[in-house]
Amino acid sequence: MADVKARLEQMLKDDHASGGGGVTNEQLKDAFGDEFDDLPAIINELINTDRMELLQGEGRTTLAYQWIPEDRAARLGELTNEQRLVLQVVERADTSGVWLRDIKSATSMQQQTLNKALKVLESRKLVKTVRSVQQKTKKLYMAYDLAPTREVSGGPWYTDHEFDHEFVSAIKTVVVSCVKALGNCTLEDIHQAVLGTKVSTVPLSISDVQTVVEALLADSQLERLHASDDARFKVAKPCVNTDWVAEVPSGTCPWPRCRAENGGTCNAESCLYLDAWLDEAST
Amino acid sequence: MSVEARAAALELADEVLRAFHGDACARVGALLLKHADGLTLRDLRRRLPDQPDVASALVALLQHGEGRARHSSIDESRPPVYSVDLHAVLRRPRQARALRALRRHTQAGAKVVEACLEAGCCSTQKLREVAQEDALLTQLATYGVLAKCDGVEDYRDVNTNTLFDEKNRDLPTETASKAKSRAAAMGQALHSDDGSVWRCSHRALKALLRREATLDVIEKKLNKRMRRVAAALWDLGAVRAVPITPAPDPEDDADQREERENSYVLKYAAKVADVEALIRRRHGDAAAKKVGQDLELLQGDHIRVVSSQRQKYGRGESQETYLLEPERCRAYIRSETVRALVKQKLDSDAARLHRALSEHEHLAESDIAERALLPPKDARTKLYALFHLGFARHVELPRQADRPGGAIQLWKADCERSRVVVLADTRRALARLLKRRRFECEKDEGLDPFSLDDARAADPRKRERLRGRLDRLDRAILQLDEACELFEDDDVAARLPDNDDGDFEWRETT
Repeated sequence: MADVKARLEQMLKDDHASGGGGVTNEQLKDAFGDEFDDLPAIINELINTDRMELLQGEGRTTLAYQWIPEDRAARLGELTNEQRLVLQVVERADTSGVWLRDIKSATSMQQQTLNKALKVLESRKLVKTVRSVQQKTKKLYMAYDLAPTREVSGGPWYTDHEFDHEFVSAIKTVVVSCVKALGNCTLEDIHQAVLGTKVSTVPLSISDVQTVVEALLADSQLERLHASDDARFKVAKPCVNTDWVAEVPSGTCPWPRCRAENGGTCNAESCLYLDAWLDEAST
Repeated sequence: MSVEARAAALELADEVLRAFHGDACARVGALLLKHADGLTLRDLRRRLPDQPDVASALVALLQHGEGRARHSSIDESRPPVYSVDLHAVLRRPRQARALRALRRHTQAGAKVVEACLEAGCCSTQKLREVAQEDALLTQLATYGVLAKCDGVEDYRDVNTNTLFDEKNRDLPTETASKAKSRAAAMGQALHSDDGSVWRCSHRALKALLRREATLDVIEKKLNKRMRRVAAALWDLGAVRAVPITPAPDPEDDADQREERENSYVLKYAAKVADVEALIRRRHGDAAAKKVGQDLELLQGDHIRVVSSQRQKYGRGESQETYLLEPERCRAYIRSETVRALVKQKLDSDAARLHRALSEHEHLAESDIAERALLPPKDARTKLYALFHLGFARHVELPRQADRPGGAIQLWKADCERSRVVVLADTRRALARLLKRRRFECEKDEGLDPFSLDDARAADPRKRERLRGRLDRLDRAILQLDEACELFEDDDVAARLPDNDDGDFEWRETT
């Protein structure tokens, strides 16, 4: 029995170390064969001593068993049932986090008990609070060792939960200069070039660079070429004259004082704006 | 046409008629535009009792192709009913740009066309006096620029013709007979002096403007060599004209549409060898090298101004053939212009956001913000600003049982509405400038705008001042007219009766 327990523990530790999603019953049957019937008692003991937990993730039809490291087991060991319940709700929310209101409705706890439980969990470094960029005043709770999703953190474009316009502008300038230097290039080439400049202190993934490239395409600063199967980009060359949009007067006078001085209406003959515009030509 | 768009169009039409034909024509034109069913001469006289020259004004409109006459075929005793073609009036300012483009090719030809446009329609004798050589007139007729006033121009023909290529070798064989028949008509008119009357084909001028706009963009974007290649494709007739004639049947299924598309390409696309041959003839052997590569580059460019298809020929051979896509070029110019307009009305972030919306179907706010690299709050403000300008619209997906959360709002760029809004704004601006131009010309009675070069006419400072103001107005007018042309709906313009039939018959549109 001790041998079976040791082998089970080793199997669970190996799975945890390799980042596996837990060990299923089928895997245990394959590994232990006839000794499988001895496992339930050992499993119960390990669960009761917080050395193992049961997982049932999304899309999973069977349960899986996952090893709990010693330090975490020590922290869990001292938790009350309410605190464990709160911890479960928080961990189930994964990297998206969970609002306080949602924890309350899931656990049906009184506010005071809930607040106490969360305080303990935070002090044990089992949960942490994060602020979402979409709702900065509210706190989200999530497991301590998880990183929040992009929706919550905002991704690399946010610093201290605020959109970093300067950083975005700097990245766009860097991407344009990289494309200018490379000429006709792919997204991978641009990504490597941007990483090479070390302009960003946060790691930029290729999808982040793609977002910047798409924004630059929308700004008509870059162009997409269609010569090959993979998308290639180059710096756009302005070829459409749109200066007139700002220079030519529109159909309505933009000066309120013109209407005021002309008795509430502005017509082409008496328009002060057109007078000034034409006087520029005369000087 | 929406109420707002029609109001802007009528305002512009009034100013155009006043600028080009005078007050009498403007009053008659405005009345006829209000009555879509048309009016008889008697009705016009009754409604304009203080206008003595109604008949002359009507003749001027008819002569210039802006007026139409509908004769009753059953009962000839009933008087003709007259109407005004709004689109014909609105394209009047375009003639100045067409002449400017034409002068790049031939000064002599431009002079003839200018005379014809000024008069509205000209007799063969008059054209002869202006041209002073019959060969030029035959050339203009062959290429469809001058149309005899007794038939309807086929829209397709114009696009296939080289304008003013002396050697006349560039016509695809299947249209040669039409070009020859036009040449024969002019030849007969010149020979027999049979009193034929000729008018400038607005379709030919439109094709010229499209050609120049497409080639200018290609040259500015790429280089002169690419322009030569694109010009060769155009002049070989390898152009995808829009709308495709014959028009596709809305009931066609996907296979039938593809077959029609393929038959169009088969008929009109050009082979590399043909393009090389034309360039070699025009510019020499050196210019004809690398034509194949240039066509590939044009195809791979951002605008994709050339498309290709592999065509099968006899004995198992197949070759790549190429077609010029001027509509893609036009769509690109339109997109850049809208971007500049949004940037000017709002800011560059809104312009980027609008462009991101245009390239995707329906998007949620958060998606748009991410694509445009904006914080969600800013994106929301700009989306509503675009909505109020008419450039974006949203649909609300109601709450559903299988989808958590409340109703979802999805946004989309409203391309058709933004086209209508931009067109109405541009027409209003153009009307305003035309009105101001008229005012500038008339405000100083001692200063004749047609005598600004005459040193004896008036104070030089006054002349220079007026010249400067008129120049600025004229440049702006041409620019706005170009923008109007860009945003006009080709389908609407194509369905209307053509201006070239010459016998002033108004055919009912179906």
